[in-house]
Amino acid sequence: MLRGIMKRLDSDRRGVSNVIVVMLSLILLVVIVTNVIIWSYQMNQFDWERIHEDVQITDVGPLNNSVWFTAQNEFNINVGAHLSGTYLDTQTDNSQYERFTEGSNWWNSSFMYRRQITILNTVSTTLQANYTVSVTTDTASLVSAGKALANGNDLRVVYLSGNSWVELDRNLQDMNTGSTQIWFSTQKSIGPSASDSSYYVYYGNAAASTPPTNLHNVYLWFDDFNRPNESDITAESAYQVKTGGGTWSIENNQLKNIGADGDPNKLIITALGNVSSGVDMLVNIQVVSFAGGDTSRMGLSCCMDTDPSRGSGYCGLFYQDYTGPDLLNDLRSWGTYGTYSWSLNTSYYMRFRINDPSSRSGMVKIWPVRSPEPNAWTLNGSFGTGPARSYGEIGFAGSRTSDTTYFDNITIRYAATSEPSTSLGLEETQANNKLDIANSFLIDLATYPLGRIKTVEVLMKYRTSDAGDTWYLLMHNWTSSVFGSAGFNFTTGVTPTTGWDYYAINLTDQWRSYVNENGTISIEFANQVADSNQTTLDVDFLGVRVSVDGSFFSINNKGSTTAHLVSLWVDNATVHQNYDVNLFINSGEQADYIRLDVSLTGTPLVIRVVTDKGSVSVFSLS
Amino acid sequence: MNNMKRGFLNKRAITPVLSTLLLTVIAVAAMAIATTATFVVTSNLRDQMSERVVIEDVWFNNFTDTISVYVRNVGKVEVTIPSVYVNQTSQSFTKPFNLNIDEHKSLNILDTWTTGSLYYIDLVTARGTHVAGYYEAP
Repeated sequence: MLRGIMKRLDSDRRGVSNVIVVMLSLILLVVIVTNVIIWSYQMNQFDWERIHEDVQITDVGPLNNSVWFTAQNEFNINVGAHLSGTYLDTQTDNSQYERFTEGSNWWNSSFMYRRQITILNTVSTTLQANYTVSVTTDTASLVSAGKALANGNDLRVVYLSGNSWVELDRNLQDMNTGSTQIWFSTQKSIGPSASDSSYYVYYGNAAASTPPTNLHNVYLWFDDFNRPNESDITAESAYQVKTGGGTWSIENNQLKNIGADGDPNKLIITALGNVSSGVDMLVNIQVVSFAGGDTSRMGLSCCMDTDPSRGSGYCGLFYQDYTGPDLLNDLRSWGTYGTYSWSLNTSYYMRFRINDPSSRSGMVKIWPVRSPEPNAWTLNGSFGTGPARSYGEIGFAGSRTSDTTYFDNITIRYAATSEPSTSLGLEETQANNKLDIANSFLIDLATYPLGRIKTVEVLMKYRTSDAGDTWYLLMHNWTSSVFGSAGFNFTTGVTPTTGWDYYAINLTDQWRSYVNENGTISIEFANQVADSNQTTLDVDFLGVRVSVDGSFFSINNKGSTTAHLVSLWVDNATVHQNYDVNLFINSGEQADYIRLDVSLTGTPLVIRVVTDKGSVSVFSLS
Repeated sequence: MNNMKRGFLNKRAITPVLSTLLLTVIAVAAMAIATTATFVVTSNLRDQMSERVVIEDVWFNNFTDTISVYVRNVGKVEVTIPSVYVNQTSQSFTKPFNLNIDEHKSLNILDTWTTGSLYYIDLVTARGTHVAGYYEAP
């Protein structure tokens, strides 16, 4: 058959063109018909969906408050304990509640009392960790009241690291007096002008054992030289001599220097390396032979070069005569000298402090051992006109002639330009039941942008078993990084009944300090004073909401297809205002649409929403 | 080789080949023209079928003494509105007034109006689609 067709085509020369024409005509016809059917189907479907759209605005009104934003995670319990329920029970005001109980959060039950220590960084730079601070308290009255041991063994310093307690080494000075100094080292840096209240002093344990008093953990450097005699202390890796005149030995538990020719003549504490901060150095110094004149000099030194002329630095010295200390910038210039009459074979304290080497100023204080430290500096002056130095190595300055000097009990600590202040809180007893719980709440910024929020409100429904406490709602201030209530409309706390009570606060126009950029608000709820009652707290509801000036639109989709709203009209007699919308509502569902940029003023109003297919729903608001 | 030799020897064989080629070329050209014409015609048909325009809002503006007709193109082709009639009277407005797909904007008719009167506003697209309705001036 195929052969027949081919033969016929071969014989009929017009056959090929006929086939082409017929085939192309058929293709063309199919394309046209298909396109028309597809386009028709598409637009018919569009029209069909539009016909079946049934969007209705059921309610419109002003919106002054958001919904309540409640806890989405379990509460953090800073002090106290959880008894029953979960955070889910605090999300709605109903009969379900979460229960907490007070606790003591006490470091060691053998100690009856404690006082909280607050360290305030008084400078505008960060106070580094391991800064040695002291807090002063009247231990004589504690001893006489039977609250502390006379030897101070039960006086302990403890650091609260998160939920863990860490006992710190401490150094007591003038124990059992009206002004005992308790020295310890900070465990964490403190930001500029910020404070840290994570430290406590505990006492009241008659059976207290030996406390931790490792002064190496209290100071940047400490050495009492209490070890066997050594002819050359530089046999110890911690010390090194530069430039090398004289000898440095340990004799009778003291550091002994016999001077010799050499400039400068230093014993460097190489174990400290370069110290890149201001330092305060304190040492016992006793001169037993003193030739006098330009080469007689002994004392302390810091900011020493390591290269090329190692050992050159700032010095606070007994120099030349017995009239007072002098400041020296090694090999560059002599500075201010002070007035203090000192004697041979007498033990003195010498304190030497450099806060900022670039300022070329230093301080020296001299006073006899076993005498109280004077408040004023013996010498507070300049190192002269020689070029200023940088931070560097630290050590002792020895005489350039055959003078003999004994040093003992050197302590070195960091020194800020302004010392941090320390304060002690009220005395707490061990039976100090408290409760302190906290949680975070997240505002939906997608619906309630920060720029549209007027203020923030907090509402709590709670019940306590003790009506004697005063309770506070505090919020984390993201600017100052502390919990507080500054700017609230109500800051005095509440004294509850033993029934259900409401506690509501408004953050007024200060709300922005308490809401961070992602909308988080951290709330703390705590009672003010610890007592012997172990109060329980029931929280039925705790929520946060924002105040706004907007409008809500309840829209019902009764149609059989999903409606896509694209336009909103708010018309009054004088103005027709259009707002772009992008809202999908599934078939059979209702949506509460919120607009914070729409104000329903100038009634009567005609509200109109338009779908992407052109359906319009109208609502009249009188 | 023998066939080629025979073809060159047979002088009458060239005419049928040429005629066949010519007919084929004519047929292809005719179909190309027909295809183009069909494309043009069906494109216009498709555009006309896909045109959907809605009037979202009509604002009889007291301050400007104009009628602002807010229109939205919800169809699948671009739309041009060359003519607007109010009560069958052609109105002037800023031209050209084009609406891309999903575009929406206001068409301001430069005509005075009377409070309480009913107006029949008719927008006519370039493809001849009418979008019309009665609106009462407040």
